[in-house]
Amino acid sequence: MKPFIKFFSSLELVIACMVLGLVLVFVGTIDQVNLGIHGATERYFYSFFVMWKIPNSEISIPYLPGGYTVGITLLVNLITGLFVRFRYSWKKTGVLMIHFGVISLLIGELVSSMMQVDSNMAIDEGATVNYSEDRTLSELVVIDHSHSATTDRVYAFPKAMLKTNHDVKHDDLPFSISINQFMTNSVIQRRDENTPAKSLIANKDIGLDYYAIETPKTGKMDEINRNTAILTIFDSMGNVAGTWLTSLAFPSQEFSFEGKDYSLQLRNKRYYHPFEIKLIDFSFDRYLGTNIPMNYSSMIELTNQERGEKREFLIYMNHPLRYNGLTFFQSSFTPDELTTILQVVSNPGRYLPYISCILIFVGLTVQFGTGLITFIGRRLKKS
Amino acid sequence: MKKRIPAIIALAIFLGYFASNYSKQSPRTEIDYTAFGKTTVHLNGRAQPLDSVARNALLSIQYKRTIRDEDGKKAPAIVWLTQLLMSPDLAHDRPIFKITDEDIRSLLQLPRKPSKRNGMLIALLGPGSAHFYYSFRELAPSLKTISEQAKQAGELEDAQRSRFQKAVLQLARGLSTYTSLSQTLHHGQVASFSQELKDLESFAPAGIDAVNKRQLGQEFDENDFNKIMNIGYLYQGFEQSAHFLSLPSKSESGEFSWEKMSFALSQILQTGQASEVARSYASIVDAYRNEDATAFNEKVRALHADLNAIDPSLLSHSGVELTFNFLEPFYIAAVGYVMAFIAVIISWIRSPQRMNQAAYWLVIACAIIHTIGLLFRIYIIGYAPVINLYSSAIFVGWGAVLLSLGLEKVFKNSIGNATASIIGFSTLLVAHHLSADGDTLEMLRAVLDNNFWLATHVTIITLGYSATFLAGCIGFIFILMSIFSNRIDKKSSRAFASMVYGIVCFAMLFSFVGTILGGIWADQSWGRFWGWDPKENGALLIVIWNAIILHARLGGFVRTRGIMAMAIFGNVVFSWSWFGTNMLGIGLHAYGFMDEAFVYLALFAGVNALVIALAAIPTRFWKSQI
Repeated sequence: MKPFIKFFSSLELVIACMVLGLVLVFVGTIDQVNLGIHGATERYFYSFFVMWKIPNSEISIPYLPGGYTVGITLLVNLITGLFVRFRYSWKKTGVLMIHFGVISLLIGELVSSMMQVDSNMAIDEGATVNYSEDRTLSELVVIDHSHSATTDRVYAFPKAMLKTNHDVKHDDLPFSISINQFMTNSVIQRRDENTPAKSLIANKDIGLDYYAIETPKTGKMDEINRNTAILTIFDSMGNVAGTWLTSLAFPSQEFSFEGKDYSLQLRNKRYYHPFEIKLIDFSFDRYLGTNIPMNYSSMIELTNQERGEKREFLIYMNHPLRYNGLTFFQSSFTPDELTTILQVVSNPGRYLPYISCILIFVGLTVQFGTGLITFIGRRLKKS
Repeated sequence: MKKRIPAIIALAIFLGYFASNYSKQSPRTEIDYTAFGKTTVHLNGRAQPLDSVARNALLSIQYKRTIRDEDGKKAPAIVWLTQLLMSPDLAHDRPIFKITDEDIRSLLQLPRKPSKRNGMLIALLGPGSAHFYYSFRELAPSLKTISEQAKQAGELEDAQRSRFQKAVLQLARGLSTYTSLSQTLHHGQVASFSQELKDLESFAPAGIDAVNKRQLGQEFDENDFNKIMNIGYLYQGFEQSAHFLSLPSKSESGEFSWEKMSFALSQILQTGQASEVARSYASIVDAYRNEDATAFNEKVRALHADLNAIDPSLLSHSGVELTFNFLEPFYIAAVGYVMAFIAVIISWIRSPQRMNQAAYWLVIACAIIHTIGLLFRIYIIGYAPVINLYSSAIFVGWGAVLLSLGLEKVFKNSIGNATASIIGFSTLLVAHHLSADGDTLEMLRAVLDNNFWLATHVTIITLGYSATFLAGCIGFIFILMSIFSNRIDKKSSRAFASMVYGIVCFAMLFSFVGTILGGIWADQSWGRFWGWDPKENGALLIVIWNAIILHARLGGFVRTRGIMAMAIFGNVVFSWSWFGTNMLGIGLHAYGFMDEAFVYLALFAGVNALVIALAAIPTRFWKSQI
C-alpha cells in the first residue's frame, strides 16, 4: 500500500501530469482545425485515452492519456498529497487554499463534462415554444394521431437505438420498425437516372423522390451532422408495410396503418420544459454606418402555468435569462432576423469555479504576497 | 552632479526628439490643415477627426502614415486626404499604392521604378524584396483586371488564397477605399459645390412640382422632371460611393445621427435648403479648388462653429484624438526604448553606473509616454485598454516595462532596464505591424462589449502574458550572458534566479486568476465555464507551464540553469497563446486572424529553442562560473 500512496502523492507525478496536460491541450487544440472544437474535446479532453487508428485497419491503439486520466490522476494526487506530504503551518495557508481551489476546479470540470446539457430553442417572432432541441442527438418519433380527440401520442426512439440492421418497437404500437441503414451524416439528393440502384430501396413518400449518400461525421461548430435513417415497417405478421427515408432534413411523413393515422419523423432530440417562452421581438443592432454587430437581443415572455408565473425578459449579449436551473442566452438568429435561436444550458457544476476563483486568488495573493514582503524586507535590511 | 550628466543628456535628446516630432505634425502651409484635420466625421461606427481617417486610410494603402510631397518633403496624411476629397484629379498623380508582389506588377505591366534604396534592398535581400509605389493614374487602366482577379480571390477562403491573390485583394481594397474617399465630400461632376447647392435650392420647388404633377396625371414640365430625375441618380451614386458620414445632427433626446454628404439633397427637398454644415463643407471644397487659402481657413472656422452649434462635444472629442495622433506616443516610446537599450549596452561595455542611470531615466520617460498613450486610447474609445490584438501588444509591453522598472528599482543590476527596453520596443513593433489594417480604435463586436469583464479578465490575463514574456527574457539574457561573457558570478546568478522566480509567481497569479475570470465571464454570458476554445486552451497552457516551473523548483528538480531554460520555454508557450491560437481561425476568440505572422512566430520559437539548447551545454564550457 505504502509505495502506492507514495507514488500517488509524489511531486514527480504532479509534474508528469502537468506536462502531459500541456501536451494534451496543445495537441488537442491543433486538432480542432480538423475535428472542430466539439470533436476534439470529445477525443482529447473528455476521454480516458487518445486513440490512434492504424491506417487501413480496424485496430486502435492509445498513444496519449486522455483528459479524464490526467485530470483524475491529478485530483487523486492533490488529495492524497494533502494527507501525506503536506505539513500544515500558518505559512502554508495560501498553498492550501490554492490546492483546494484547483481541486474544486477539476471537480467542476468533471461534473460539467458529464452533466452539462446544451440544447437550442428556436422561436419565431410571435410564436410560443416549450421545448429545446439537442443539435447533436436525434430521435425517431412516431406520432399516433388517433389516440384521442384532443391529444396525439408521441413514441420517441433515441439515436442510441437506431442502429443499422436493428429493430425497434413499442408494445403499444401495432407494428415494428426495422432500421435498414442509419447514417450519422449524409447529403440528400434528388433521384434521377444516375441514382445507384442500392439507394432506391425506399418506396414511400419523400423516399420516392430523394435518396441519401452517407458522408463522414463532423465535429465542427458551424456544421451539423445530418442524421438519416432508412427504415421498413412490418406488421405483427411480418408483412412489409413499406420502406421510408427519414432524415433531419425532412418534415414529418404521414401514413396510415390498419385504419389509423400516424406520422413518422427523424428529428433532433427534444427536451420539454414545464414552462413556455414566447418571442415578442428579436432585434439586431449594428454600429451606425457599418456592419459591425453592436447588440443582439430577444424580448421574450415566459409563462409557467404550474407556478402561475408570467413575465417579460430581455435576453441580450452578456445578459442571459436564468430560470429553473437553465441558462438561456442569445446564440444566433435566422438571416431574416425574424427567428431567434437561444442556447439553453443546464450545468449543475457551474458554481464550483466561482469558489475556485476566490480560493485561488486569495491563496496565490497570500502566498506570493508574504514571499514578496519577506524578500523586500531582507533587501532593505541589507542596504 | 557629474554622475548624472549622461542621464540628463539622454533625456534632453529624447525629449527634444519628442518635441520636434510633435511640431512636424502641422505642415507650414498657408492652408491650415491642422484645423481641417480636427473636423469631426463618422467612420467605422465612431466619430473621429478627419486626421485619423487620413492616417488610417493612407496606412492601409501605402503602409506609411506620411506622404512625400512633390519636392520630396514629408507631409502628413491630411494634406493628401484633403486633396483627394476635394480635387481628386490632382491626387491621382501621387504614387501611394504600394505593390510588393512581382506577379501583380507583371500582370498589370507596371514599370519598375529605379531608386537608390530599392537597388540596395534588392542587392541585399533578392528581387522579391523590392517594392514600388504607383499612382492611381498608373493603375487606372488595369482597374478591371484587378477587380476580376480580386473577385476570384474573394470567392476562396483565406487559407486557400495564394500570396498573389492575397496581394490582389489587398490592392483592390486599397483602391476601393481610395475611390470612395474621392467621392465622399463631393461627387466632382460640377466645378463649384456651393453654386450647385444654390442652384438646387432654387430649382427644388419646380422639380418637386413636376414630380407631383406627373404622379397625379396632370400636365407637367418635362424638362424640370428630367432634370430632377438626373439629379436624383447623381446623388444616389454619390451616396453609394461616399466613405464616411459627414453631416451630424442631434435629436431632442440627445442622440447623434450621421448622414453622408449626399443627404444635402434630401435636406433641400424637404426644407428648401441645405444644412449649415453641408454649406460650409461646400465652401471649403470650392476654396480649396480655387487655391484660396484664406477662404479655406475662414470656412473651416465656420464649419467648426456649425459643429459646435450642434454639440460642442463633437469637436472637443476629436480634438483629443487629434492630439493623440500628433503625439504619436507609441512611436516615440519605441524610439526611446531603443535609446535606452543602447545606453544599457554602453553601460555593459564601459561606465556601468552612469549609463545605467541614463537608461533607467529613459525607460521611465518612455513608460510615462507609453502610459499617456494608453490613457488616450481609453478616453477616446471608452473601453478598458485591451480591445483587440493591437492593443494587447501595447498592453503586454506596458505591463512588462512596469514590472521591469520594479525589478530595476530592487536589484539595480541593469537587467530590468535591458528587459524593459527590449520588450517595450519589440511589443510596440509588433503593434505597429498589426495596425496596418487601418483603424485600431475599433468598435467592439457585441459579444465582447462589456467593460467590466474587459477591465478584469482581459487586463489581468494580459498582465499574466507580460510577466511570462518578461521571465523568458530574463532567462534569455542570463543564458547568453553567462555563456558568452564573464559578467555573471555566483552572487549575480542568485539575483537572476530570484528575479525570474518573482516574475514567474506574478505570472502564475495573473494568468491563473485571469483565466478563471474568463471562465466566469463565459458562464455569465453563455452558461458554460470552459469551452476548450483555442484561446482558452492557450491561457491554460501558460498557467500549466508556470505551475510546472514552480513545482519543479519546489521539488529541487531544477536549479538556476534549469529554471532559466524553463522560463525561456515560457516565451514559446506565451507566443503560441498570444498569436498562434488566433492563427487557427476557430472559436469565439478568433478576432485577429493573421498568417504572415506565422513565419515570425516560428522564427521567435526557433530562436528561443536555440537558446534553450545552448543552456544544455555543460557549465564548465561557459565563460561565467555560475
